Amino acid sequence: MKTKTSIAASVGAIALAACGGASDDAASVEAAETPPIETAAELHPLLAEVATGTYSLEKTHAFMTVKVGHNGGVSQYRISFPDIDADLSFDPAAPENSEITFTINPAVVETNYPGDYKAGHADSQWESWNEDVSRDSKWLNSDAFPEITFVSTSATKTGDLSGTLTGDLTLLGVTNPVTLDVTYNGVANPPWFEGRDVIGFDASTKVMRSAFGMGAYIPNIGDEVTVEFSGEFLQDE
Amino acid sequence: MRILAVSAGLLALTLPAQANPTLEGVASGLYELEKTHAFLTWTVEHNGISGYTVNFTDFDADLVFDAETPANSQLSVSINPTALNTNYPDAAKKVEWEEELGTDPRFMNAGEFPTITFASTSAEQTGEFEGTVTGDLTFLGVTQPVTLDVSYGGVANPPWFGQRDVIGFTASTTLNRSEFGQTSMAGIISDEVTIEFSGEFLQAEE
Repeated sequence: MKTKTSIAASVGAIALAACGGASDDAASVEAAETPPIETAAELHPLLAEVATGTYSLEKTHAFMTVKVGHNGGVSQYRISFPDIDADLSFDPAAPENSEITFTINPAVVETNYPGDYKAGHADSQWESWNEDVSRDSKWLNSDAFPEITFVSTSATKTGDLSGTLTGDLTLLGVTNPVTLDVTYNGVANPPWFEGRDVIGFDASTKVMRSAFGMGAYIPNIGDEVTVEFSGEFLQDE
Repeated sequence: MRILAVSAGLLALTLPAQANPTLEGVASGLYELEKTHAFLTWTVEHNGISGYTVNFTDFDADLVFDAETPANSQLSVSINPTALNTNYPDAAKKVEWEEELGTDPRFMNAGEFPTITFASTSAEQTGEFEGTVTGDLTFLGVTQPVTLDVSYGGVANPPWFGQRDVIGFTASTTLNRSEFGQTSMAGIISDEVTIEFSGEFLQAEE
């Protein structure tokens, strides 16, 4: 949690100035001469009390899903990545200076396939549809490429609480620049984290999977993949 | 929080639908949910700063579709409240947490209320491929009217279904869980719940 010293000091000075009257000229003068506190006073209230520094993904409150059109786009097929991690270096006064590294384990995917996959896919070499999506060479090919990574390279602020984050996405051994739309949702201080800040974000982007060499079943299964994230980051100890 | 709901709404609107959806030639009549291509999630806000999303993994739906006048269509949905996927990252705790969410009286309370149902009562066409579906949602034994925003995604005819049509829809709504009597962890978990569906319906065999 950021110390509130500068804000408390300025509030105190204003209070003194307001009620000091003629009997307390020194305090009034001092208040008048106090230089305006820097950017902290101009920050959005949801950013004003947030610690600068490094944060790690709070994995029990973090969701990453991809959606891709099926049957030419009549519906959106949804796949979750339950095993993800991220390190964030966050600067609330200049969020565009923040940096993030994301790692996604493609060996763990969740399609929520209902029923008995083998019963309907006797010829498949895989035991489940999750395993097929994860390991098959036409999909995530996770034996050959055991990690998906995103490493930010730049960011821009587009609103008080929104921005874009550009970085290098490496999927199937191919690295391409990707830009995420990001919304900052605020800070929480649950007592069990004893003063450490927890900050939350939503992010989304669209990527063309063909740009990473995954061309199977286009266009029956869409080339465009929508990626969505919502989750929390815990200030490092 | 408004921010989350708004961004989810915008996203839904910009999802890539079929390039040229059409209702022409689509069969009217009974369709059943094609369960291997159907996703139903609920999202609540956690601590006011992130969206917590859980998949319902066991649900079914029947659709009586009127391709000429989609507003005359009828939909009924049943959801098993114990079949949840939270994607919780620890395998042992995941089982415990999903069991707790499904059965605890503070949450789905499935021992007492083993099915969640939605039965449409009316529909309205608002655009060429968009509309609203209003119906009765019964959750925790309480029935309340709910209106879904629905978009039609188009028709497909994969060869393995013969001549049967497959039609796709994306739908979403928000509701307040307190209106169904669920007020647990207020302040940590939002009252507002966003429900999202995308999936396909297969024309029933005659």
